[in-house]
Amino acid sequence: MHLMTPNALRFAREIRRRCHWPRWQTSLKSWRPAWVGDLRIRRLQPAIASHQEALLRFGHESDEEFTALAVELSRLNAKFSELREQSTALDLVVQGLDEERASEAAYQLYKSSIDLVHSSMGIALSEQEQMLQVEAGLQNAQAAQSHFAHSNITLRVLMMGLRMEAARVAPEEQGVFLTVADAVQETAEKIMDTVGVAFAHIAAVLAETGTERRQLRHLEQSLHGRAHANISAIHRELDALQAALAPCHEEGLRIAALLDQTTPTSLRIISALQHQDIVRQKLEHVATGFSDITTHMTDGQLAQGRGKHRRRLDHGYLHHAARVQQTHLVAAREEIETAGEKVTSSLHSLLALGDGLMGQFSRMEEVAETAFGNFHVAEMFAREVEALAQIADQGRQTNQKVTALVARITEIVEVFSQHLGRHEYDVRLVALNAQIAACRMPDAEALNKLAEEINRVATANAALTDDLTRELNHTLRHLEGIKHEADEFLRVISTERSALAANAQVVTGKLNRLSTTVRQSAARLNQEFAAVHASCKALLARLCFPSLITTSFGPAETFCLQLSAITQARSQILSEEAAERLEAHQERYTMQQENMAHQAALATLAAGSAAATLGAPEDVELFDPPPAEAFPAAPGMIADTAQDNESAALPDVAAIAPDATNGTPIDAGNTSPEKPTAASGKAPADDLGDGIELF
Amino acid sequence: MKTILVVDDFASVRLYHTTFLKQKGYDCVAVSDGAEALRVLQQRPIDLVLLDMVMPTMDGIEFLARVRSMPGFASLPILAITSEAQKAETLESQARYGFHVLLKPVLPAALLEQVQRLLPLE
Repeated sequence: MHLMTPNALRFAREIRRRCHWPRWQTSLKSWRPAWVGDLRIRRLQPAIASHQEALLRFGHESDEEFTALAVELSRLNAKFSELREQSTALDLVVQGLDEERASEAAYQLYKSSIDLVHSSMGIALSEQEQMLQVEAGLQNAQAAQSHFAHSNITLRVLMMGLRMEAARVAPEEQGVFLTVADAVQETAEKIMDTVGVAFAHIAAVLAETGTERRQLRHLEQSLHGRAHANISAIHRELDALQAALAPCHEEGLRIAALLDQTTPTSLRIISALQHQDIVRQKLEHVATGFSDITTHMTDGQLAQGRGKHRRRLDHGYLHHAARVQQTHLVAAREEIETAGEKVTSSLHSLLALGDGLMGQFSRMEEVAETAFGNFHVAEMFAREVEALAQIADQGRQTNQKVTALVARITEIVEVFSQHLGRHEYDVRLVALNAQIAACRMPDAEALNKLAEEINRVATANAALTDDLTRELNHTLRHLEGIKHEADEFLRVISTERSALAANAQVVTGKLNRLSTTVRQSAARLNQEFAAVHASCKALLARLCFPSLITTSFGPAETFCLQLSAITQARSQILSEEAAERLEAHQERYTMQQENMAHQAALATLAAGSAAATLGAPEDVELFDPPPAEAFPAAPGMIADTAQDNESAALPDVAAIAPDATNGTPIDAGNTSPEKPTAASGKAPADDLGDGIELF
Repeated sequence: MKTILVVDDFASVRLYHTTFLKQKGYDCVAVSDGAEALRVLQQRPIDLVLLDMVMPTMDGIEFLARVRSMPGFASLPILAITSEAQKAETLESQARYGFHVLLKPVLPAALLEQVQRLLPLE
């Protein structure tokens, strides 16, 4: 055409217009030789192997990628499980249900401290009361001193009277009475000396008893004040720990809620990952289908010559096979794209949950760190044990002093019961002698009376001494009872204090271990979780199967569409052998869905046309009968040569390739697969391919 | 002689209570846990129970529930000793089991007053 002169061109265009050339062109196209299509088909043959390879490579590489995703997901889920366990363990700690029951042990220790302090205080108070009774007894005893003084004065008066009466009797008879008077005076002086010393001792014991009672009072106040305050502080500290750990429980509930969301998300990912394997198998079938097409192209006699001796390709079979593979490719692509979308979106959701969990757990860790960091109950228990030790020491000292008091009162009792008693006995004996002497003498009535009176005073003194001795013995027994009880109490207190100290160490150890466990476990888990989380994020960022889909599926789909377009004109004729081959291909499908897609694709193709059985496959036809809607053939049309056919361009790829943006691939459910879908917006047209250009 | 059963897991407390109450003219029996207390109640007549509310194995509440369910002990006077920490819990059970409460620290005068009010000496 480009060799024609401009005038000739203008003439040719005018002729074409006047002769309705487009209609003639359409008719001529339908008359073009069948082997023209074969050539174009064979030009597509070399690319089939690369398409197969791309599809199989997609299966392999997507498998690797999805496997890596599954591994990371598994690691992430493992960390989720650890996080759940740690959160649960911390929640148990908050509720006091940890393995060692550290909080409960601390409360029990606190209770023991209370009991110990209170019983010590009670005993101190009780001993004070008893000491008061001891003091009262000693004061009663002390009151007897005046009686002894009175008795002494009486005796002195009686001695004076005795001497005066003795002066009136005969000198030879005075001696007895003067001796008696001297003896009684001497003894009375001894009695007074002894009584003085004894009552001085009683006064000293009384003073010491009062001192001890005041010290017991001081001990009681110390217990009530300082130790009680410490115990209250311990109670507040334990309560403060519980209150400080309470937010952990709330954080734990939030963590549990987030963790509950991870399971369904993970299940969605796992479910979606399975589609990769399904799609891989589908692509393997498609590759096998491509192999069948290749086999058909290369099978039998290869064209060595030209013209009518060249073997014809079965366009019907190729058309159907291409459409079937295209259907499977479309379905597989849709499936893998949907699965990929689910995987990436769910993984994003999972990572978002992970971000939330890390935040929650960090807060939980901070709360626990703060709670245990401000927890000083171990030091408090140590101080409490030390305070109790000091109190026990005071109690021991008090006991020792009570022991000393008991010894001193014992001595006093001995003084009264033995020394004083003996003196008074002497006085009574001497007085009796005087009475006897007075009885022998005439006119000694006065002397007798005096002796009798001395005897009476001495007897009264003796009775007083007995009473005093009993009182002191009673006081002694009371004091010994106090000492005995105090000894027993001190023994029990010492045992309990030692147990308290030991338990305080045990509880301190438990609380320290609890604190360390909570802090270290939380920190470790946080670090490990962050690492896995980052790893998963990185993996997600470098996923490349979306682009892999485009590079693998796209060219294969294009090939199928091209082959389908080229073989469209003769697609209605399906030889028996081709039908068998297609059926055999279908039987290879192991999945029901694929089988149904294959069946549907064939059914739609067969619905619009009648299958006709060709003669021997070696029959060669130069021309196929035109379609019913074609215009009648124009006379004088000359068939083109092979060179012109070979120079003819392949169908416009852009016109028949699937629309990458709105997805117009034809699927198995499309009842008119020959026509593009409505979504593409293109009007259906009978595309007979590029025809022979006469001009 | 009126007999008081002292129930407390702490030896020093048992010693304190029994010593003091004996001085005041009561006979005392001391046990260290609720189970032993239940056995003593069934073996000899007891006129008053002095009960620590916090004990291991069987605490005061459980002891009260069991003793009140035993025939013949529905009206046995019980004086429960509790600390401020367990006060709320103890008072909640008071209406249900019918007992009296004494808060720690147990001062001898307060103890004697309560005991003599519940179990006056003849």
